[in-house]
Amino acid sequence: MEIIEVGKEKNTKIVSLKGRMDAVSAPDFEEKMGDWADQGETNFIINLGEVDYMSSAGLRSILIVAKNLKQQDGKLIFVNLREEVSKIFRISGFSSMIPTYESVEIALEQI
Amino acid sequence: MRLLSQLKLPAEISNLRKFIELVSRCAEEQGLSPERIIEIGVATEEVLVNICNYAYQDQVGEVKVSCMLDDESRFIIEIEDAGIPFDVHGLDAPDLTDDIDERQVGGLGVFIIKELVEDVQYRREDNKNILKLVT
Repeated sequence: MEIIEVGKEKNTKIVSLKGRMDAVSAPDFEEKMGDWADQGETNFIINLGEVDYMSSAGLRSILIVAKNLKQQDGKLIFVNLREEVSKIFRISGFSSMIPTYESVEIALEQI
Repeated sequence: MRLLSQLKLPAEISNLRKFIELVSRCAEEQGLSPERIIEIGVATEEVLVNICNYAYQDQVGEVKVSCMLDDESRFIIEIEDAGIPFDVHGLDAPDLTDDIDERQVGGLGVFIIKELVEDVQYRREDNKNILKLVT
């Protein structure tokens, strides 16, 4: 999975993920997000438009990151979920726990 | 039951994608939709990750994944390990609270398996766990 820094707007780092978020790649996401948080970045919009595969290992990393950012009064928002990933978010109750929007633009309007 | 393909490797996360590739390729050859292939891949991953993390404790054991078609032409994935007995049916339902602070980390894998496949059948045979995912 690739983790791509897209930019920063409204004090929020915009990141795109590309590929599979599984038990192999999820720890990379957790580590990268931890590094950014250590550097003082606590607000994120994560674009999942090019992630078509998400397992519970991915959800686990997302929850760990979300808990960590919340403690620092940060924000973790996901946008542009594909149906495959959206279904995993729904059945595991993540869609009512983690904010998701259709696009980066819509998410930025909500901040 | 007709065997389509089979792969046996050490139960390690580094082998996970080889198993998922096999299952995905078999499912594709059976004409399943791309969305369904991903769901079957995720369900298979959840079983394999549990085996890699818990089945063998201190030693490294093996896991065998078989793709099959049953008599009703349903696509079946059978996952076999020789680790400690583990029946996914014995687990409690996960905590699905929507409060980030309260939510427990983990426990979602087995729940996701049950949501993504039609049926999950477990048997213990010759000191092996055999889990059958019926799609």
